[in-house]
Amino acid sequence: MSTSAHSIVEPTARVKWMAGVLVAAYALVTLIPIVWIVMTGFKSPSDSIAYPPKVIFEPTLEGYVNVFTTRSRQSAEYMAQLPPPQTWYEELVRERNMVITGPSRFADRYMNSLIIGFGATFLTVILGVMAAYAFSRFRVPLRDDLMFFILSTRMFPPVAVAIPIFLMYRELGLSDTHLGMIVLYTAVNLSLAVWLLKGFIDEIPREYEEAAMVDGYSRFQAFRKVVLPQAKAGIAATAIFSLIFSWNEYNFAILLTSGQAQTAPPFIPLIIGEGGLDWPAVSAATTLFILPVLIFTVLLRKHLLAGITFGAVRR
Amino acid sequence: MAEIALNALHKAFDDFVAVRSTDLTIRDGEFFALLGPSGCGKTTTLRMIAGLEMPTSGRILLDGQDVTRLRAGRRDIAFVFQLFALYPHLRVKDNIAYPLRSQGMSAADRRQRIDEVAAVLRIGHLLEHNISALAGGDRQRVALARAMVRRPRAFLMDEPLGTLDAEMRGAMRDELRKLHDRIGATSVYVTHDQVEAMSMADRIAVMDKGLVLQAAPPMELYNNPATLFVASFVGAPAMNFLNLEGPLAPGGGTARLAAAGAPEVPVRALPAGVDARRIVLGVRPEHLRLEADGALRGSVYATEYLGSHRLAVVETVAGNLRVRVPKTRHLAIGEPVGVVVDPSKTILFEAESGRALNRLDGTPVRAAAPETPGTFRREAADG
Ligand SMILES: Nc1ncnc2c1ncn2[C@@H]1O[C@H](COP(=O)(O)OP(=O)(O)OP(=O)(O)O)[C@@H](O)[C@H]1O
Ligand SMILES: [Mg+2]
Repeated sequence: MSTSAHSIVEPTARVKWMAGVLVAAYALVTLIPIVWIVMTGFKSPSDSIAYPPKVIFEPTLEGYVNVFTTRSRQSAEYMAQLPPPQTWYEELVRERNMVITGPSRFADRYMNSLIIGFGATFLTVILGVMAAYAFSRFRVPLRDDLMFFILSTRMFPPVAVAIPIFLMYRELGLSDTHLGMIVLYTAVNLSLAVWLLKGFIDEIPREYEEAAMVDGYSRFQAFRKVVLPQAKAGIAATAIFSLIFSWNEYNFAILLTSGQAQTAPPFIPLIIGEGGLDWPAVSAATTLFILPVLIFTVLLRKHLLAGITFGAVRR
Repeated sequence: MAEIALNALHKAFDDFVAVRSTDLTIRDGEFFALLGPSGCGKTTTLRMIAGLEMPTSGRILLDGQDVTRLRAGRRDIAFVFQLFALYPHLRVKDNIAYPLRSQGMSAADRRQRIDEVAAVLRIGHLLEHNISALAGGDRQRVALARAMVRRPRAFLMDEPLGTLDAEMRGAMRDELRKLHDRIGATSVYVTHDQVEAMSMADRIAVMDKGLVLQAAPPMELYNNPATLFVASFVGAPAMNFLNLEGPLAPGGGTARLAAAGAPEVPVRALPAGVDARRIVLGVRPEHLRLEADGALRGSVYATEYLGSHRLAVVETVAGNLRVRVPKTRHLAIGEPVGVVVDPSKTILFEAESGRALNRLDGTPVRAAAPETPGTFRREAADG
């Protein structure tokens, strides 16, 4: 801190500059692994494992082609008698004396992740906002105990109950189903959702919905038309947290899914190329995997910020 | 347009009684005020009429129709909240249009209705503005517009002027009353400010601790308070109270003030069947006189210049008394004076129950019906 007579609430230019440098340095450190993954996705297999690591390299889409296809190696004679390649990716594969034998299962797994991730998020927000509203507005018997109980489901890591859930799901036929995974992720996310949303709804004066109710709306209509728009920021935050958890979840996915409902996280690390892991393909898959959450968060960002300033306008 | 009747309306939150078995009839077209100190149950009563709070027992009738269990939106009543409850995410005109949307009214009709109320409330120029851009008084008008636009059967207002500054409040008070005279819809107005209630209402119900103590026109309330509480709550400066040493002689005459060394004052006759041992004498500041040879001796403690007159606070053995004196009368602090009580302008109260025993004109007051202990029904005094 400078000793000269500056404003005590405004940081000095030097403090601001130093803070900027610190933030930039921190951003750099956290971004390096992500940048490295994105870069590796565009490397050839040999570049990807070169030592010392290559920062300058010739980019190729081979990794992306490998993620989406299965290929087999052929003899030189066989390759010679093939008709010319129809597409750019066939050409790319043939340079390595291979032919495409079909699509890989990555697209299916990715689709599973989308269905389960967004399905669980949707369900979490719907159930969470209704429960939070009820806790906030009605004289729920044993309210405080129930709220504490809901929170207590967060007090152990979800995998602690992996075995009972595994057995239960096998009995109920929910193993390796979309529904099973959606329900499971919803259950895990719901406690946080209820607490988070209750905080936001408590902040909305109940006069708002009461005014609507006196003016001819039913309670449900008032909830939908008055409370929900005001709770936008909380809903956005809940949706983001919920999606991030469901999207990235690995332990339950590996335990409970293997085929039909397998999500991307257990699938990606197992993408095998010749002579071990196909790092460019794994990186390409990872890059694609990051995108939905990134886009979702960026889209909801303005609602989050709107929520932060909302409280200041009101009274 | 509607008459609102409350029949034995009762509301308890767990074991706390917020509104105690209340009977009240608000006449069609009346401007009715609910007046009382903070926490006496005014808002709870209003919310029950609106349908926002379910009574524990009792009934609410709108024009004779039992609406006790009818949901708020079906009662066709408008509510103006203290904090206005305008939607910050909507523009002024969308806020006003909000009640109309629930009725599925066409856009053209809505537009016309909005323009109508906007003209009445002089907010036409604000329709496109955002709520957050408005000053307090304008927000108040928008809230009123939202209540009026539906043309409801009755208006309920919960301290609608509470958040405005004093000057604005005075102006809005007149405006509200004018508006009521023009529309003529039944209005129930909640306030803890007796000046507001006295200046606006046709009739006022004074509440305390969940109980309606008296419902009467302002002047009746002022002249003939039914209880000690009403007498002390209504009127500024407040009424003076003197404890009398009992038992009083039934025929009147004089009574000693209950304080060491206090003189006797003349009192009026007590009605029959009254516990004469503990009686409180109430007298308004304008009914006390300062005279050099007054029997109740005291000294001037403070004076307040109130424009049209002067208020003197006189320290006596029976406590401090507020006395209204002409503004030309000069009083020095500490000056010895004598206070004279005019017995024909006094009201006697039973100290135990707080019940008034006579009206200002001297006629005795009947005791409350025994089956409603604590409630003071004064049908005879109404209107
Ligand atoms: N939902 C509730 N739960 C429990 N007690 C309540 C509830 N609502 C009101 N009360 C209590 O009932 C009493 C009456 O409340 P009410 O709001 O009707 O008072 P009021 O006369 O409007 O007072 P004010 O002038 O402060 O607004 C208060 O003591 C309050 O604490
Ligand atoms: Mg209130």
